[in-house]
Amino acid sequence: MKNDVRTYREAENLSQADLAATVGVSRQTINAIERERYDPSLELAFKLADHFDCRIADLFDPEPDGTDE
Amino acid sequence: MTDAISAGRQRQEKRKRYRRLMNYSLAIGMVGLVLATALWTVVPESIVVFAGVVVYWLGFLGYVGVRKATSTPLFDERETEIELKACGLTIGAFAYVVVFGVPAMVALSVTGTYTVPSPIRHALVAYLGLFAVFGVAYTYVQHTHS
Repeated sequence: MKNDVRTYREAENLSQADLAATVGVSRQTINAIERERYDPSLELAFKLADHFDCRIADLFDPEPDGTDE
Repeated sequence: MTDAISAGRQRQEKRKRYRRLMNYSLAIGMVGLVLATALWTVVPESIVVFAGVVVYWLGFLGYVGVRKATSTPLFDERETEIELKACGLTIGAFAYVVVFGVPAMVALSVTGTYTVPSPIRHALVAYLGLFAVFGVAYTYVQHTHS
């Protein structure tokens, strides 16, 4: 799933390991999400949105081509 | 922010420590069994091999014990999904063996065309048993998730 996790993370000057530690997953999981090779669970999506103080829809785009309606 | 990262890193270190402990426990068990079997060729006493088996069991119990006893999540959701997908692929591979192998074995045996060697016949029956267990497990999980 397309997402802006990397953009948000870099805006906060966090490493993947830092973000992983904050939301309770491995660094590899954050890396896989950023590379769009793994879609997080709803619980993790909420944790990420909560951490970045935004909505899940701001972080993740469910449209395959990355375009909204 | 820094506190959250620091606390998270401590959790991750703890998780790494426990996982290392689990892997060491399993490795010690396996190495113990191999060493005992090797030693048995020099000292052919049954107790040597049985001791190796006990060490192996203890190693496995150590692995499971740590995994069950700790409240620290040892695997995150992606790792759990990888494990589930690997299990699915494994059961899928055995499904092909059973779907194609069992009817062929029965047909060959019934017609007398070919007698399937006993080890292969037993293996196919064991695979059938595996699917019976899978069916029970699936029904149980379906029941608990409905």
